[in-house]
Amino acid sequence: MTLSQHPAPTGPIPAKAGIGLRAPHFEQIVEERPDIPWLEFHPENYLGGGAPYLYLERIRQDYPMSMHGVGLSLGSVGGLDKEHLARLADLADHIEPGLISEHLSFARVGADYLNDLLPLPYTEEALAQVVSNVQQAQDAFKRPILVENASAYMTFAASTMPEHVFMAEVCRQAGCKALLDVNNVYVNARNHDFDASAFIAETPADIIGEIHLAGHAVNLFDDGQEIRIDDHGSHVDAAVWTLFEQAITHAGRVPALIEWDTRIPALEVLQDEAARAEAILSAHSDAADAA
Amino acid sequence: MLLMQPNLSTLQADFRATVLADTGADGAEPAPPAALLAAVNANGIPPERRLAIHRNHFATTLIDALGGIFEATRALLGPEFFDAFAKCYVRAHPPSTPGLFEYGEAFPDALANTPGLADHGYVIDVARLEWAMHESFHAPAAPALQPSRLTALPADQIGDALLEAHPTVRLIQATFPVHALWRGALDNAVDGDMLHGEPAHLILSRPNLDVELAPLAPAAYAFVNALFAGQSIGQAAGTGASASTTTGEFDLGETLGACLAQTVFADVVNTGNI
Repeated sequence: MTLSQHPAPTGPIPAKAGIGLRAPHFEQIVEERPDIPWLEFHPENYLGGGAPYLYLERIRQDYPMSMHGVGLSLGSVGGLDKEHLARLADLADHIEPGLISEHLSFARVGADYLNDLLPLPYTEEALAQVVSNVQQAQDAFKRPILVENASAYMTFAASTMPEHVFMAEVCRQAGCKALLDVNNVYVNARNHDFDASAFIAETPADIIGEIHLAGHAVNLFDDGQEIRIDDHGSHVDAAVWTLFEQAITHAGRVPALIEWDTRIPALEVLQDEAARAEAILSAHSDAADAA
Repeated sequence: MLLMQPNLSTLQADFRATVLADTGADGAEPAPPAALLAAVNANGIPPERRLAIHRNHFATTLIDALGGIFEATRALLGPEFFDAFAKCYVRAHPPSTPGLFEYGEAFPDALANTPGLADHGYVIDVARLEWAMHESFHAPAAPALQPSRLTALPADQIGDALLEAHPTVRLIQATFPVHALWRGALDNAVDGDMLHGEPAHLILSRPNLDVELAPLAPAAYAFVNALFAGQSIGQAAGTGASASTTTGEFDLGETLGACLAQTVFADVVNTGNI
């Protein structure tokens, strides 16, 4: 196929339910222009400037786009990978995303990328490093970013503050916003025995700039011990929908996103999931209007 | 207790060591550094198991990425062998950038350097073809050289002109008929006769979204290869003619025309004007 060009530029991200852009859906989105309020892309997949980039460049003409990094490694000691950051900033200059976000985790150690969102201890040392790294990223992007709470399969003895306090402090000190992933809150609450609802209630409402929704897996070790894995490979869990309602009531209407990365289904399945999120967003605005 | 905890730098270095450590010859999982084990709260699940989640994630996601790039190679080697080989490869060659599309460049050489695969040269050929196709797919888009740019040159200057390769072009020279083997592997239709076919000369390019693959005659291959090595059109024509196996195999006008009809060149440099 060839990609015709349209003049309309991308705009700010609306406070509606968007969908994560994945390669199996490129052609359908270009050809059918389905009714989706906004799309989120992982910049790492488009840095070559090849065929995937051509799709991205074409799709951004029809949809507001959000750039959601998975490899900037905001928690790495010694600062960010300057070369990678420059490539991201260049991509952002071309695509002009409405929002830019990354995770509160690390992936790079020295010259090696461990292809994961690895957990950080919630210490003053890690906080200072993340704040410095977020500021470095914001200088490169020339705007505030959003930082996402990551899922974690362990906690550290060295941690001196809860995760939501760490996230709020990063936002306060670096001047960024929070991308609240309610699935990750739930996964961590189940894995580490804390109250997911309290996590959301105690997160300052005014820092929440976006919400992520996704499915997760329940894995069992041989001895029956359960651990929840954030694999983005299924429908959003019922308990996570409840937390989403709480988060929207708490933070007000903000952009929300359905993520699905493994066993990627038909686009229509993602649209159905987004419609469910949209109904919750709308119910909240109706209630807010009535009040 | 808090004083015993590793600082962030040590914690991250220990994570790297844990994720990249080789599995023992007996299949046993290596023990993570003691300081990292002590840093992780057990909370009902031993720290080793918690860390193993990340060891497995690193290996499985990168093995999947390699399996996607080297799909025909995987079919030829068998999924079980490929995945086991890839598991060693990913720990020995961790990604140096977060762009997974850049990952796997050294994989065909790693296969070629494996003594047990000495009799499987055709698999190495297919792996090199698949990496070249992958590179072409992700190479930056650029306009193709318009034939009018070349015909606009004064006739006596064309021979001295240089032609620049399009960013998406890759040349493949293989001992085995790699095009048929690649196609056959994907269709599960490889037969032994394919191993006795002619050596292959192929050119890959991406005019728009899809990578195109075309065979070249040996003389035409030598001509394009010489151009990409920096020879002028006139010099490269000589290289092409010398590589001809039959008299009259190489026709400069015909070969240039065929290349211009595909996306082979990005630009022409008229050295007469420099």
